[in-house]
Amino acid sequence: MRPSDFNRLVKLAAKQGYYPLCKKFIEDNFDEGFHPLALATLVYYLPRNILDLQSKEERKAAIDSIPDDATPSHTKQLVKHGVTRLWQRERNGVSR
Amino acid sequence: MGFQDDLKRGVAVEDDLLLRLREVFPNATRAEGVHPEFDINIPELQKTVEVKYDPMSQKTGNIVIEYYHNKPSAFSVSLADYWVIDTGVKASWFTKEEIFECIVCEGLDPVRIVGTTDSYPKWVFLIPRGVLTRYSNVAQAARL
Repeated sequence: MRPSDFNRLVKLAAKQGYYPLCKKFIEDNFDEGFHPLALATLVYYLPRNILDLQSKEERKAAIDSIPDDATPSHTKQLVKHGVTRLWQRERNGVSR
Repeated sequence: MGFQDDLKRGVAVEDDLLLRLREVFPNATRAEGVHPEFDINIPELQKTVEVKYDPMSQKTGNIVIEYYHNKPSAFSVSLADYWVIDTGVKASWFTKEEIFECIVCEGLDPVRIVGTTDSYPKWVFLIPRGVLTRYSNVAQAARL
């Protein structure tokens, strides 16, 4: 699989927003050998997609849908941090 | 400079940082054995440090952050509180969250690279040096 195709598919997985749906998308659309790589990559695309959800409640539910023991480690904390920082940047209308 | 030279220099960079840390934190130690979670432990602070030597960034302009090498690796498995990235010219301190924040906020896509001595491709983020530096609060504090 070409890296560009791989990235495109992981971005589509992240668009599902909720972790179990993202994981199912990966399982349905990638060969099994790619699952760990896709999950390791998903963490970088999830914050933007969670921030784009309609309401605060949906964003909170999406973050809460990430298991505490998701692989790679600290997935939940990193995604939460990413969502928070993206939100702060957009609220302030500044880039660092 | 070849891979072995870079490896030796990387170890020397770790040694140098460890010596400097021990001036303030005498109990600082290097992680022994295969220890991908961190490189240096500072018991006095209950903090750990990952040291990354990236001299190629002087040529390419990019810092390489690896996260997958046949399995989750480097950034994905590091538990270090701080990452020290040494370009051979300058060492910068980051938290893992700051590096992650940079990748996410800059909307970077990963790339696949194959090193000359690698059996498997690595998946990495190539982060422009100047961009990454903006996300270091340590660097920002130093400018104040």
